Amino acid sequence: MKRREFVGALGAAAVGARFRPTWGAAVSSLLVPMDDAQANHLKAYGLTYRMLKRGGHGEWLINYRGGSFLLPDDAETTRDAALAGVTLQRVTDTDIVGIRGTIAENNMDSVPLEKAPTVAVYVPPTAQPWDDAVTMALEYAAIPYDKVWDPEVMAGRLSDYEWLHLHHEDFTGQYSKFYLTYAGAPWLTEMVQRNTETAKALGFVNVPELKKAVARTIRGFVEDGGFLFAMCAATETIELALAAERVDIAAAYADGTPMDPNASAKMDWSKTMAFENAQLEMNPAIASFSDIDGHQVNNPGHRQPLGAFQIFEFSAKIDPVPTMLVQSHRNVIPDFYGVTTSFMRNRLKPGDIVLADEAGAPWVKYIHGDHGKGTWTYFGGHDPEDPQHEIGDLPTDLSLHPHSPGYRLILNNVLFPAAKKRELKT
Amino acid sequence: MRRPITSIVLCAALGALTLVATPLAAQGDRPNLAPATALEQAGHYQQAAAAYEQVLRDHPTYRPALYALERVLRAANALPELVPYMDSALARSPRDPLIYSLVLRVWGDLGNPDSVTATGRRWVRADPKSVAAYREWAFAVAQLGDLAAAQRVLEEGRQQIGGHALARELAQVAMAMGDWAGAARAWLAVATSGSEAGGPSDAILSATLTLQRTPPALRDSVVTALLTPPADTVAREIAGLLLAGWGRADEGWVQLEPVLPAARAPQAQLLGRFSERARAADAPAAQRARGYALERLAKVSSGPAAQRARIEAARAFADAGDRTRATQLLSAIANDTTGPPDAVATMAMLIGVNADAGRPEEAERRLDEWRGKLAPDEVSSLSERIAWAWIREGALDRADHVLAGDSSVSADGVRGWIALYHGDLAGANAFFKNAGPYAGTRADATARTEVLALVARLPADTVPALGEALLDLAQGDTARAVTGLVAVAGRVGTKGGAADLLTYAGRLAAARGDSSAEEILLRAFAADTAGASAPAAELQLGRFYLEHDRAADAKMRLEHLILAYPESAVVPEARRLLDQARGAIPKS
Repeated sequence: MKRREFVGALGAAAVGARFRPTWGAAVSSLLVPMDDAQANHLKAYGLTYRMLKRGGHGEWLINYRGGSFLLPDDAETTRDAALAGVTLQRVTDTDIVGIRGTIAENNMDSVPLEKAPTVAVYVPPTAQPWDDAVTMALEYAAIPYDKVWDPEVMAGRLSDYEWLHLHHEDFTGQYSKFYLTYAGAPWLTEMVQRNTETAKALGFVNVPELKKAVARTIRGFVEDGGFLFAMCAATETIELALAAERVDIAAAYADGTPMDPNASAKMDWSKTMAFENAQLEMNPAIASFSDIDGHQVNNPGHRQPLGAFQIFEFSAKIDPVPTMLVQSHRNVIPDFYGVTTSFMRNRLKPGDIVLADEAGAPWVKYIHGDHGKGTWTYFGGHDPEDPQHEIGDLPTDLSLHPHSPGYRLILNNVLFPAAKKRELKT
Repeated sequence: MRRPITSIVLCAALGALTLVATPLAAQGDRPNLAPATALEQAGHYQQAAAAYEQVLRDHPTYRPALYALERVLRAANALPELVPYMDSALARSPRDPLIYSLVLRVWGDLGNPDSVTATGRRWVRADPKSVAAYREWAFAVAQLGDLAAAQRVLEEGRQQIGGHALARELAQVAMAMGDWAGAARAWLAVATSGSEAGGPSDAILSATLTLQRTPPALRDSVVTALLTPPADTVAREIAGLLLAGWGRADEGWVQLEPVLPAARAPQAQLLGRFSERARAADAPAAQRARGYALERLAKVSSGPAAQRARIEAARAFADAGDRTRATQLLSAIANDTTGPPDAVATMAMLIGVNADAGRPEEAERRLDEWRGKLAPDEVSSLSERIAWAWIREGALDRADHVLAGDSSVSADGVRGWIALYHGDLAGANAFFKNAGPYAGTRADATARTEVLALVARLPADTVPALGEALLDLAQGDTARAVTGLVAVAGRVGTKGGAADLLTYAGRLAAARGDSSAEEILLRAFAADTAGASAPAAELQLGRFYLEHDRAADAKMRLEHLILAYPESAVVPEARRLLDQARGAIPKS
C-alpha cells in the first residue's frame, strides 16, 4: 500500500478495530508481546509480515507492551511462532476488551495491519546480505525482498514496490571516498569496475552522473507515494547527489575532473528531501562527504565519540506514524558508527521530524519526513550491534541479538507501510 | 570550512620536526615585553596586541614580540592583523628561517594558498639548499588540505637538495594520502639514507613502527613495495619485522634470516626485535619461526640471556606443536651444568612437554627426580598429564600408579576416566561425583557430565566393551570407538540406553565426517522417539545435513525437533541451526 492509500484510507473496519478483532469472529487471538516478555523481538516482525502475506489481518498495538501485535489464532501462525521462537499469548475476546480499554486510557493506539508491503533493497547484485543491517534484519526475520540495482532503477522497476531500502551506497559516485585509502584492495577494484561498466552500459559519461540520475529516480519513487528507508552513507549522499544536479562534487578519481571548488555554494537544496545548506568535504583523501554527519568517523581530527540516543515519545493517537517508527522496548540505545553516523541539527530542513537524538549533542540519529505523496526515513550508522564496524569485520549474527532495540527500529519501518490508518485532522 | 584531517595529521607530524635554528641574531637592546605579557596573562588580548604592536613598530624583527602577537591575535580571532608586522619583519630579515616559518604558518592558517606559495618560493630562492624551507612550505600547504601539492613541494626540494633529503617528510605525506606502498618506498629511502639521528638501526625501527599501522588490505602491497628488486638488506629487515608484527612471522623469517648481520651485537638486537614482535602470533607456523629466531638469539647471547632465549624458544616450539624440538631444547637446558636461571620452571616445562609428546616414562622419571623441588600443585598437574599420557598408551595401571597419593579432586577426575576405561561404570560414577564440577578446566567438567549422562541409563555396573570403546576414543581411534559404541548399543537394547549410546556414536562419526553418521543417528532417533535422546539425535542429524550442504533435509529435521519437542533443552540450538539452514544468519 503506497502512502497515499495509507493516509487516505478511512474504512469502517479501521474504526471498528478499536473494539473487536478485524478478521472475524474468532473466540481467541494471539497477542505477540513486544516488551521484555518477548523471546525474540526481531522475528516477531517476520511472523507478523508472513501472516499478512498469507492474506491475514492483524493489529499493531502501538505503545502497548512495547508495541505488541494482535494476530489471528490460526495453526499456521502458531506453528510459525514455534519455529521462530516468538513468544505468543493466547487472549480471549474478553481479554481484548481489557486491552482496548488500556489503550483508550493511555498514550497508545491500535493500527490495523492489512497488507504485506512489497520490499526492495537497492544493493549491488554481488553483495552478501551480511553487508548491510537491513538485509541482515530481513533475512533473520525471514521477510522476503527483491534486490534492485542501477539497471532496474533506471528501467522504472521501483514502481513494483512499496518499500525501498538503500544499501550503504555512495550516491556521489566516489566509492565512499575509500578510493585512496583502500587503493588496490580487491573489493574496491571490483566495485569500481562494476560501477564503471554499469554507467557505460546505461549511457552515462561517468559513475557520478549515473548515481545522480538514480538518486533522482528514487526521489521520484517517494514523490509517487513510496516509502524510502536509508541508513549509513546512503542518507547523506543521496541528498548531496540531489542537490548537486548541476554541480561537480566528485573527486577526479571518480569522474576525471576535480570537484568544483565552489561546489558548496552552488548546491541546490530545493531538490533535496531532508537536508539543506551543507558544506562539502573538499579533500578527496578524507572519507567524509560533508558536514551533515556529526560524528565524522573517518575524519580523525573531527571524529566524535559515541554516546547513546534517546527515542522520542510521540502522541500515539495524534502522531501514529512517528509513534510506529519508534516502537521499542528500550528508550535509550547505544549509538553506533557508520560512514554517516548522525545528522547535524543545523542541516535539517524545517519540516523534518526527529525520531531520536542524543541529548545535548548538536546531532540527531533518526529522522523522518514526507516528500510528495510518500515518506522517507533516515537512520544514521551502519550496524546497531557492531558499534565500531570496520571493513572486513565478521558479519553480525542476529541470532545472538534477538532483542536488539536498534534492529527493531529498522523493522518498524518494514511493517510501517502495512499499517492502515485513519486520516488525521492534524 | 573544516580543516581536512589528513592535513592535521601531517601538520602534527611535520610540526614535531624542529627547524634548523640559526643562531639568534643580535637584536640590540631587548625590548621590555613585561607590560604586554601581563595584559595577555590577564586575558586582555586586544590591549596586549596593541602593546606588542608598539614594540614591533620600534623593533620589527624582534621575534619574541612577533610570536606573542601571533598568539594573542589568534586568541582574539584577529590573526589577519599580524600580516603587516610579519611582512615588515621579513623585509628586514629576508633570510631568517624562523620568521619565514611564522609567515608560512600564518598564511596557512588564514587559508591563503597563493601567499603560502609566494612565501615558500621566496624562502627557497633565498636559501635553495634549505631542508627547513621545503619542509615548512610543504607543512603550510598540507595545512591547507592539498596533500598532493605538499608532495610536489617536497619532491622539488629533494631534487634541489639531492640525496635522500626530505625522505621522512615524503613518507609521512604518502601515508596521509593513504598511499601505503609509496610510504613504504619513502621509509626505505629514509632507512637507507643514514640521515637518521640514531643510525640505520633506529631508522629501521622507525619505519617498522610507522608502517605497522598499514590497513590489513594493503599490507601485501607494502611488502611488495619493499621487496621489489634489488631489495637490499634494509628492505628485507623492515619487511621481516613488519610481517612478524602482523602475525606472519613465518614469512618474515624467510626474509630476515638470510640478511642477519654477522656481528653478534646487531644480530642479537635484530633477533630480539623480531621475536618480540612475533610474540602475539597465534599460528603454529609463526610460533615455529619465533622459535627459530630465539634459538639463534640464544647462540649469539651468553649467560642468563642465552638461557632465557632457549626457554622462550622451547615454549615457542611447544606452542607450535613441535614437541620434539621443544624437548631437545629443554633437555639441553636441564643438562647444562652451568645451571639455568630457573631450573625448576625449566624442568616442569620439560616434564610436561615429554608427557604431551608421548614419552610418559621419561616424564615420570624426571618427575620423581624433581618432585621434592616442585610445588605440590605443579606435581599434581604434571602427574595428571603423565597419567593421561599412559592412558593414551593403553597402560591404565601405570596411569593409576602415577596418581597414587594424590588426593586432589582433580586426580579423582582422572581416576574416574581410568575406571570408565576399565568398564567399571559404578567406580567411574563415584570418582566423577567426587571430582564435582570444579576439577580441571570447564571442558573437563563438561566431558565428565556428558559421559555420566551417557552411562546413567545403562543397566549394569560393569560394561567392559563400553570401556574399551571409550578408551579407543581417548587414544584417538574414533572409527574403532564408533564401531564399539554401536556394538554395545546393540547389546544393551532400547531400554538399556541404546539411543543415548547411538546418539553419542553418531555425533563422533559426524565429527570425523564419516558418512555412517546419518544411519547411526537415524537409528538413535528411532530407538526411543519419546526419550530425551530423540531431540539430541535430531539436532545432530540437522547439523550433519547442514555440514553436507543438505539444507532441505536439515530444515525438515530441525523443524520437526522444534515442533515435536518444544520443551527440549536443545530447541534454542536447533533454532539457530535452522536459521543457518535457511541462510538467515551467517555460518559461524
